[in-house]
Amino acid sequence: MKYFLKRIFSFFIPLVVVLSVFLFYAENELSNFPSTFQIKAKYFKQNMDNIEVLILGSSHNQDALNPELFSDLNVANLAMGGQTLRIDEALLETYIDKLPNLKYVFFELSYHNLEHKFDAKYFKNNLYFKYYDINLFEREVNFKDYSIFLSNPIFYLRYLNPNKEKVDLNKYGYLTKMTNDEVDKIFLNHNYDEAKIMSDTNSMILTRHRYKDLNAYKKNKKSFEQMIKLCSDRKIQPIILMPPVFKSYYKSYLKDKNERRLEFVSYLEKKYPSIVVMDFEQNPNFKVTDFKNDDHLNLKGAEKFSKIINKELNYLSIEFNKENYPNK
Amino acid sequence: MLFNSIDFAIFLPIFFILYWFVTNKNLKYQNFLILIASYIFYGWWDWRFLSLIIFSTIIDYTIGLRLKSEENQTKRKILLYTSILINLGFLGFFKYFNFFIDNFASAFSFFGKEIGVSSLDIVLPVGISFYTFQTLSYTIDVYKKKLEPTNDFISFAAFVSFFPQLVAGPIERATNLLPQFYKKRTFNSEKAIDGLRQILWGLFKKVVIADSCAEFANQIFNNSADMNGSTLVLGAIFFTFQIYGDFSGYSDIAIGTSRLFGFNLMQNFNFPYFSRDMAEFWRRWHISLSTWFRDYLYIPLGGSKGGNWMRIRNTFIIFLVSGFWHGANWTFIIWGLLNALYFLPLLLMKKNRSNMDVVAKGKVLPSFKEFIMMSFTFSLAVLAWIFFRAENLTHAFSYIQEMFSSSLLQMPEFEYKRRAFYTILFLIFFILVEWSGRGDQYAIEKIGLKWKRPIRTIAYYGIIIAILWSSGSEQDFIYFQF
Repeated sequence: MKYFLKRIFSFFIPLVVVLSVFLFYAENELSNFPSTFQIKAKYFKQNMDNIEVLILGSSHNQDALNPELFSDLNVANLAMGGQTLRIDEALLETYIDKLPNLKYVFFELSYHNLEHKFDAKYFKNNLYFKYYDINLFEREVNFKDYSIFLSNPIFYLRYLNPNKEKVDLNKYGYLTKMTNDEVDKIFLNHNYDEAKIMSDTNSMILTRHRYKDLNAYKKNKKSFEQMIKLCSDRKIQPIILMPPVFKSYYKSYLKDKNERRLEFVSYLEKKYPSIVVMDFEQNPNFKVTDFKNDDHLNLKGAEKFSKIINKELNYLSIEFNKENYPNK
Repeated sequence: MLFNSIDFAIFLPIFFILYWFVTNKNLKYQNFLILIASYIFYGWWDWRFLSLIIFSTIIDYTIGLRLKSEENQTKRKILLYTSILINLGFLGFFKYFNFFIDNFASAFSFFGKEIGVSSLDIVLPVGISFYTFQTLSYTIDVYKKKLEPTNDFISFAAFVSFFPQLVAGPIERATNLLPQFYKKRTFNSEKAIDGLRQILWGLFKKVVIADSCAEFANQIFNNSADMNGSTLVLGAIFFTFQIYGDFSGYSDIAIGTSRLFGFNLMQNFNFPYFSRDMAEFWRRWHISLSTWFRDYLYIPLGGSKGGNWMRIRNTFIIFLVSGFWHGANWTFIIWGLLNALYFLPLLLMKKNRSNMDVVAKGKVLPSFKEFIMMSFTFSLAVLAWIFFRAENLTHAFSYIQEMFSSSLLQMPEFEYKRRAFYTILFLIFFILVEWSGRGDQYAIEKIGLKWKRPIRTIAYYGIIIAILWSSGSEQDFIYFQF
């Protein structure tokens, strides 16, 4: 036994020491790296008393709405790439009663949202836990959940590269400069040539949402309705937003999947008359040069869109009066 | 508790200390510790289902003792059938109830009659198929008087619930494992180090190979309708390595963990993808299940004694039951049937035992003929795995149809190609290591033993870092669902 223990310790101790030092370094670096999560959460938590508009959703809403461009309202955009409706629900449930001035909540209902499956093992769950104090693991928290690096070592290793490009974010955590990521430059690389874009029917951007998941649909409908109820019960105006996407994207829709989504919108409109639906999905004002890829606005498009939504909100706010709720 | 979890990484050393330093003086205490640890290990997933294991344990222990004192053959048979009925009854209810209800309703509706039955929301207890077969082996062996029933309830309960192999095998025979609980275990450094080495390789297979392949296999199978033929071929190959890495990795960790505590479990995988025909493949894949079916089903059915016809009939029965054992879905049954069909020409030509030895034994490379035979067998296995992985038969057939369409000649198209490239590099490394160690119990059993210790240590560190590198999330083992 002594021989065994000696060999085990001599094998593991150097490894554990090196890995611990590395882990400490990695955690420290990642915590100090200015990320959208970190800055959004910081702004959100520091301004909870003043926030009037809350934006939820995935990367579609994240890229489409810059809170800085909303002139008269305090806006927090908590939408995030890969954020499912279950995560939106958890965020809203946790914070709705801590936002005394909240008037409007934007919910994203893009083509993919309702059939985008929530994953309790999604690596970003650690970030939601760290920055928003919500447990999405569907189990008790363990010490690995406190680590950003351990949630996805391969992904985070590149952030430890000292030459890693730092992103430009405003105080709301909104990206103010295009990144060098390939997915952000797809249309640019095509020189905004519509013919080229339309012929690329098998691009990753188009194929990644070409799936159906009825199970996820069922669960997401429940989450969505629960969020609408949370708002309605508190006389907060729920707004369903369908942000603009390029025609290459909406022309690749699976018919039945899209119909299920639209059916659900009609159902909600009937059941909750307070709901406002803002459908900009195929809005002709958005040209190819407003997009960075098939389903995301670029900075120019986002500026245009944020200003439009700001105007819409100003109209709504004239009508908005908690006493008169519902205000449709 | 998953082997590839932090929980297990904490659980194992604690158990090791208690086992070898606290309870080592008394065999009964040690067995009792195994029992408690096994229940904690299982209860970590869902403690409610512990009651099923405990109930099965009590039933089979009691029946074993009654079989010992009972000489009347009819009464002995009743006792045996009681055990089989109860054990298979649990299995049938939890695993197959909905399958039969749904098919029953579909059959009626096919003939124009709708019946108002609905399936139940049943959770399948992890590992039920494994421990059920293990306890059944005990009762059958006691009935056949191949094994003396035990009076020691703790040892028996520890045998049924032995945590290293409780949830996904190897399915141990009572004749092999149970007597090991009666004997005092002494610590053997070399065996323990060998056990750790096997655990390391098992984790590599699971975390680096299986989980990485799973990412692409899932992506391709879940969106197969939009994929071209070459992508679908790649998806099927990714799944082929996923299931091997996942299941044989689990077995390696189970066997390695058992060795740490002085137990020897049977080899469950013997490099099946280097097989030269399907008969050899089935002698090397999930050996504990294949031999279980051979001993408790094939031989009682008459085995090969009744000539070719009986041999073929029994082989088909074994494969169909084996398919059904894997899951309550027609896809598994067709998977079993397909494997039986692969077997058929070998049976007819009496060539099912022509490749018994290690391929290219003593050589670095296989001969051209061996290479072709291995490639052909591997391709057959890949094709069969499509049924195993598909959601339903329609999915499987459309997958195969598209796979063999003209789009087979297009370039593969799927997300994260760069990551897929790294995964393929890992796969090549993995195949080379497995090939080098194909004559041993597991691939790295003897590789590097003659190297200088610092070099060997660096190689092991490399494997550990690859495991940590790939361990984004703790993925369940596929075979937990069976």
